[in-house]
Amino acid sequence: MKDRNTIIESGMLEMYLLGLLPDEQVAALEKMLADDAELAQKYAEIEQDFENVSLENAVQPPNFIKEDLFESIRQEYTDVKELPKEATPQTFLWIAASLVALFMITSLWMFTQWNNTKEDLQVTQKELNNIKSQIQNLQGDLESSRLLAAIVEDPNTLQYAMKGNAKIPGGFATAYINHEAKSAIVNVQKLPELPADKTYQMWADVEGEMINMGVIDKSKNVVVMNYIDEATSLNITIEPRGGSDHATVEQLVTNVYL
Amino acid sequence: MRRFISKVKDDSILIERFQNRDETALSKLYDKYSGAIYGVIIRMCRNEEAAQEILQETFIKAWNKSHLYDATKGKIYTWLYRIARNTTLNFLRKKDKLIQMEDLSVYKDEGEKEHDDLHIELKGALAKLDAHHQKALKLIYFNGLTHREAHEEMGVPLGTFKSYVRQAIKKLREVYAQELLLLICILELLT
Repeated sequence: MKDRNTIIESGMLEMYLLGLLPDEQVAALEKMLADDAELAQKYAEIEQDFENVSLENAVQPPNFIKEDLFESIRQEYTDVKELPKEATPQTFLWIAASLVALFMITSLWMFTQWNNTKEDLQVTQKELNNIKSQIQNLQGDLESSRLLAAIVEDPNTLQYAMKGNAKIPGGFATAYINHEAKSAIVNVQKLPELPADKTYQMWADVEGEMINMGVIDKSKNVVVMNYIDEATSLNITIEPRGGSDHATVEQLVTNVYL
Repeated sequence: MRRFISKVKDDSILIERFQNRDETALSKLYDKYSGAIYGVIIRMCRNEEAAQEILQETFIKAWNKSHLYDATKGKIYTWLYRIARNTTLNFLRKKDKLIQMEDLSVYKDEGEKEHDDLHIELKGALAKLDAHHQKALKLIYFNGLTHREAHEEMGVPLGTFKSYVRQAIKKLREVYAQELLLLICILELLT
């Protein structure tokens, strides 16, 4: 904030007096005037001097102005007081009130309509998204089916039935291995659902070591696994969600020798 | 001094009554300041008929907005002056718009005529100042110009104009201080 002398020299006090000071400076100056008695005194002097100048340069207005002024002020009173008695302003008020009410009702109706449309739009959007994801799923299914068909039709493909043990009674998977194309897929449709924190994982036994073939995505019927050379058996275990680096052999649910 | 204090007290009571919409208070304020305010308005708009309307409008506005006046922020006269100034400037702006819309030449001549007819001499302490100081204060106070408009009107740089205003205000203070001193001396001599 500027100091007292800067304010006096900058002419801010006169600008304030004339009503020319920008709004953003008015509040700051008023605060300074309230806090600084000497500055306030200076401003009071300027005010007094300007008032004196005005009084010295006064021009007497005609007397009827004062009469007109009071008449118009009293007229305002009468207008306000007589308003309810007079028919015309009342009618006018009713019309105005009706118009306001009509406007409010229309606005409300339009607002409701707008909200409904918004909701409808959201529902449609949701449905559209559902359909999109369904199409994606269908496309995925189609690809899986094509893959399965291609592999099954291939005379080089070997099919292995993997019957589930006591951990998944009645469950089984079918593995299709093609050593020529080096592909491995498994149909997991008949593997029972697992709790959300568990997953099936497939392993290839290579010289006594379990090599990861991948986590089985149960949302698909047919899953493409990593083909492992020289595997002697295929194994499926139950692992924590996301899969494990090493097979939990105690959780073996099915296996088959190649 | 006691008389001065009682005068200030009277004024604050008057203003309080005015803010409570007491018509006699309005009447007193009008009697006290209408001449000063009218002097400003008529010099600003240079049209007697319009000035009379604006004077009335100024006091109606003051009456209707009396609750907005804050005595801690300045004198009631300054507040009235600002209302009068703004009302007059609004009137002049509207008139300017009309002139732009209508036949320019007719109104322009009329405007200049009004200007010549209604030249009102400055009196008192202001008239005692140097011509350029007098003009600087007249332009901003009685003609309602901004500093920017006024320096162009005077044909001097803005900085120079601002210092004219500063000096003029200082000179005014000196003149009034001398007058006050003289008055006190006379009163002393009389008593």
